[in-house]
Amino acid sequence: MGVDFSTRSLVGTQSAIIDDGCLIVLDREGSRDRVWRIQFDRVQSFFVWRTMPWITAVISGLILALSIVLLVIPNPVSRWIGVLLFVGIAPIEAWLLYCRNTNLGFVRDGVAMKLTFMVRPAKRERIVRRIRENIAATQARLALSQEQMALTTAATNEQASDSAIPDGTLTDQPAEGQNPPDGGTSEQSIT
Amino acid sequence: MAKDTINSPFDCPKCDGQLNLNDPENARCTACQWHGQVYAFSPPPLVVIKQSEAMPDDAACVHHPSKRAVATCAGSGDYICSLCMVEIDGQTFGAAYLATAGKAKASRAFDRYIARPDTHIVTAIVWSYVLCFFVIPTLIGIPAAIYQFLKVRKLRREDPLYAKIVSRNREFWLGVVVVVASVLSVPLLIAVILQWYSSSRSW
Repeated sequence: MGVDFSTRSLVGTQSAIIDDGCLIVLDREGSRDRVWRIQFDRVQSFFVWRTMPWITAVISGLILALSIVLLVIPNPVSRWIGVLLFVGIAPIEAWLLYCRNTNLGFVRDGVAMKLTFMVRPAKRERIVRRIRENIAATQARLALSQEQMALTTAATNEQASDSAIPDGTLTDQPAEGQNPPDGGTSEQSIT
Repeated sequence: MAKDTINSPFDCPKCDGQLNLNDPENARCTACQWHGQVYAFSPPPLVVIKQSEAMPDDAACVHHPSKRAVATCAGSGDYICSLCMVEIDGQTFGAAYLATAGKAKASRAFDRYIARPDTHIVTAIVWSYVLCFFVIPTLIGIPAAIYQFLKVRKLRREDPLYAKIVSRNREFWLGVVVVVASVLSVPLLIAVILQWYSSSRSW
């Protein structure tokens, strides 16, 4: 199965798995991962928006500009360095502009949670659709189970109220002409 | 992961302002011009299972004899009431079981960290090859990679979450890397030892 999406940045690596009923977010911390779970059962709203990773884009843009400057200088060594820089940085810059950062926001019981990652637009759509379907399915399942539980509780309570022993009723009435095991009379079993 | 307490579930995520939700696929904030997709859900209301008194014919909780049992503990098999119920990975356990015999299960279920031995395998191999001119790192690096790989296999068997993170495919390729690195390290190690032996004899 593996992780559904992951993102690497200067501050760390983050991966996420869309599980049944929750989104598992893994924050890399050295030799272990911090596990966060966003349970879908009580999600009230789900936001998706895109932002430009400005710092990374500006840094890679500067390097790209430098590589173009080096390409223009009529010197074979600087031209080679320029070619290498351009080949290295141009795909990164294109990738940043094409994908941009995708932010996922969840509001669950009045608490907002945000998750940022970078994926292709097609994959982003797929992820968003899966999360939406998963939230809807989880909440429908929860509502159904609550309904069933309510019905069971009502039935049990009804049964309990039917079998309740009101004061003054006769219980365990012995057969005619037979005394109860404790030797008392049938009248003694009246509570 | 950033967390924040907000007033309304449909506030703008950037400025907490009012959102124009006419088109959820292209919602806009009236204050900061934020725009994105907003999907609203109506979660079912929170239901608190009340513990009820046990009737004469009801099964009673082992730990609260006056309360009606609503489940059986998957660990001990005891009848338990809603006060004792703890759900872990879709199974119901009693709080008393989790505090005693099921302590390991409880600590694993509520642990917020997961070990990632798979991330060390490549590191161990790369370092053992970078420092391959020194015999000791090679002797340590490759066994360390093999040990980490065995840990990956064990964790995959035992932890369902880890099995989701590290797929079978990834486990296979990690195994291939470890085997290739181990096989290559043997002639390399022999060559280094022979070189060292011959240089010590020439002295």
